[in-house]
Formats: sequence, C-alpha cells, structure tokens
Amino acid sequence: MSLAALDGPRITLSAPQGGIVIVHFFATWCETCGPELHALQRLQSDFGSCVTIIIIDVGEPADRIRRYFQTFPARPRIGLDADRSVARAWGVYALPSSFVLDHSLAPLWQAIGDVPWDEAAVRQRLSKAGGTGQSSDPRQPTSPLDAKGKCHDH
Amino acid sequence: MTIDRRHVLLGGTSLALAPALPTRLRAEPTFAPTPGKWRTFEITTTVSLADKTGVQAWVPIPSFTAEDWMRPGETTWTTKTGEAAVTRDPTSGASMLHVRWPAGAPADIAVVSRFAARDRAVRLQPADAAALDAGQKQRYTASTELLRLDGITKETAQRIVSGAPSDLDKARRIYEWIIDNTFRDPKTRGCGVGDIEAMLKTGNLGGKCADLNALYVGLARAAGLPARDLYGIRVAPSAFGYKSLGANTATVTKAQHCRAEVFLEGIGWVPADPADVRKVVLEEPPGNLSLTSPNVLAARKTLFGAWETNWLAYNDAHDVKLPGSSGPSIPFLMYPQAETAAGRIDPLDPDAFKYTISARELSA
Repeated sequence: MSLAALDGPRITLSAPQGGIVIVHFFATWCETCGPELHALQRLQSDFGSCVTIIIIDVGEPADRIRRYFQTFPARPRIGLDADRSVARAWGVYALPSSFVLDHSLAPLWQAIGDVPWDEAAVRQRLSKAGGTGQSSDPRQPTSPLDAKGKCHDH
Repeated sequence: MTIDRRHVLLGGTSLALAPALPTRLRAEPTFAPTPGKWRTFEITTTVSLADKTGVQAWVPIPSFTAEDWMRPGETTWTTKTGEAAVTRDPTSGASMLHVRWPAGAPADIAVVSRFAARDRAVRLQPADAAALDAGQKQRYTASTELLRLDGITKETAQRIVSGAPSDLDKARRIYEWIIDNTFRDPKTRGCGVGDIEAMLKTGNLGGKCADLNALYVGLARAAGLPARDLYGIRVAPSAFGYKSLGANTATVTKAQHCRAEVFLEGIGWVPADPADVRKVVLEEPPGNLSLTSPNVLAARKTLFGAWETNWLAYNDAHDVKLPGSSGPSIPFLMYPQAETAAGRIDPLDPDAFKYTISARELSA
C-alpha cells in the first residue's frame, strides 16, 4: 500500500523492524473519529517505536482535513485515500475502521467502529502482539525497547 | 362596496380558535403539486477564492432537461482574469463552467444561469410513455462508485420487493421502506456522502438527501428498476406552506437538494423524494413530528409521484471527472468545486471556499 500524504512524501506500508502496525481509516465527518485520533496519538506517545500508526482519511478534500486538525496539539501524518480505492481494497465499509498487523504485516485483528485505545485491556492485547508499551504508571516504567533499540517480540 | 361586518367578525373568530380545535376538525394540510404554469428562475453563483497561487474551479450549471418540467436556459459569466468555458461530462452530459486563473490574479467569477420549471404530478397508471433505450436502461441500472448494487444492497432490495405484483408496487415499497427505516441526521455535513453499502452494512441509516435518496435509487436499481439521482438546489419557498421544503431566502448557498426518480414501463419517470418526507419529520415546525402527523402524512402521500419544482435539477451525474484536474472523480456534482496546488478545496464550507449562491424568480 502506498498513498499520497496530506503533507510530505508518500506513505508506504512496509514491515517495521519490530512491534506492530495499526492502519486506521477515518473521516472528519465521523463523530467518534476525533476522540479516537487523540487516543491513537497517546498510544503512539506511550508505545514509541513499538507501534507504527498509519492514519488514512477516506474521500475528503485536503483543506477540510487541514482545518480539522487545527484543534489538535500536533497533526499526525495523514494518508489521503481521496478516491476511496485503498479503503475498498482493505474491505473498509464503515468509519472508523482499524487493522492491527504484526511485524510481518500479517493481520491480527480488524475493528469496525471506534476502539478504546487508552483502555488497559486493549493495550495489553497490543503489548502481547508485539507492541510492548510503556506503562502509564510512572512508578512501573517498562522500556518497550531492548538494548538494540528493537521492540520486544512476544 | 359594502363589507359584511358579520363575515369579518366570523373570520377573525375562526382564526383565533383554530389552534384550539382538535386535529380532526381542522383542515388537513394541502400538498398537491400539479403541472401548471412554467416559472423562470435565475441562479447566480459567485466564487472568490482566497488562494491565488494558480487555481481552477468548476461550477455546476443547469443541464438536466425533462420536457415536461425542467428546461435549462442560458448561462453567462463575468470574470476579470479567469479563462472560463462550459464543459460537459462525457458520460452523463452534466455541464459545468470550468475556470482557470493565472497565479497571482484575483480568482473571482460570477456565473448566472436561467432555467424554467413547473411542478410535477405523474399519473401512476400504465399509459404509452416511451420506453428507455438499451443504453439508458444500462446506465440507470448500473452500479456507481457509491451505489454498489450487489451483496447487501441486492439482498435488501429483494427482501423489500419480494412478492410485489408489479414494478409500480416495487417502486412504492422501496419508497415506504426508506421512510420507515431511515432518518434525517442533522449532523450530517452537506447533503451526505451517499455510500449506500456502508449505510446498509453498518445499519446506520441516518443521513440527508444524498444518503437517503441515493439509497432509494440504489435499492430500486438493485431490484431491476431504472432509477436516477437528480442533484440540484432549492430556489424558492414552498407554495404549500412547508417551511422545510423550500428556499426561504434569496441566498441559497446551502440549499442544495437531490431527488430521485424511478422509471416504470408505460408510465415513464416517476418522482420520488423519501428524503424530503424525513426532512418534514425532523424540521417542519414545531419539529420532530411523528410519522402520523398530518403534515408528514400529506408529504408522504405526495412525494411518490409528484413534487413541487421550487428547485433546480443541475444534472443526474455520478462519478464525475473534473476536466483538467488530476484529482479523483467526485461522486456527484452539486456544489462548486475548486483546487489549488495544495489540493481540493472543501466544497461544503462555502465561507472558507469561498462561494455564494442566490436565486430569484423572473416570472411567476
């Protein structure tokens, strides 16, 4: 998968060094998408390089997407699926939709609708799949990276 | 002339008491569009883009023709620095004004179009209406990017029309199904997206006209009935007093509305607007009416087979490729479109775009 980005070079799905990949489809008109995008940003912050998140807007003009992210503290990189061809290829028929892939890009789960990425149960599942995240409890820090800077495989 | 004082007093008394009368004693709302006089309208779209880095725009202009109710007229335009020309979508015949501005120049244009229209009421009895030719039949029963007719759409259509003795019954059953099972969602941006497969798979049947009437067209096509969406804009108030079914000011920038038609052998194209029935439910004062409210019942009875043409049909196009654009096709052409080096501009945000649309009647 390779698609144009809202800004910068094209976004290409490629196997990471370790950890997991989340491919997330959204649109600005979707009510639950905003909170979920914030949650994905928190997940990225906590999991660091152990998770690669690819965020794809489906079928919307660029300036609408830019305006939408003006209220976000930071704008993630956004893939543009302007003609919906990527969503079609992935079998996405509802937004938001998310796919969790392992480090070899084999699919682990698909979620139709919003996912509570902040919830401990979801994060544990992601950690077991290879995206070992830092604990949100500062008294129990766990590094997601090994000595070589690679994500732990589970 | 002598005024009969008793009649004046009686009239005043009747009006004062009207709200207190039980519903069954009040006059039922009248909603009976019939083909009458042709009305001529003028619609003006002004575009003034903030980005002056070399941009282009496409403005829909009237191009849908139906000899008995919609006749597009002349389109003229004025622009200081743009180069503009009328172009037609080769597949659908939808017309648009394509304008390009050189970098650094003010990106302004005013487009004025005229059209004539009159109300519709189709007699729902088999007669001698001309049949569609093979090309038309193929076009109006085909899938489009967002009207995917196989899978859940076909299954749903078959369930709805199962056992219907005629095409007219099938068309009406789908109309009633849309009204009974969908709702107008006020949070939907613009007129909606129109992805009917997503609506059916998720079970979220809320939306606006581009969703609900697209669902009608898709289900009709999936049931084997030629059907089409007509994309347009409201231009005048309802003559029947429906505040929700008219343009109540001269500014109609956000008054876009799309309707549906289904083709029945012997009868011809039949108007159907279930989305407007759901609009009456949600918006007709005092709002959130029940399906058994007199205003809703009157709209429901009327809007299969008839409609009030206080509205312009621009075109019936799907999957329109904008000439000169490297971007994707658009699902339908109902709003002005524009693009800059940074990409497409949001047509659902006229204040940022920016564009305005106004309408006036030239002859009543």
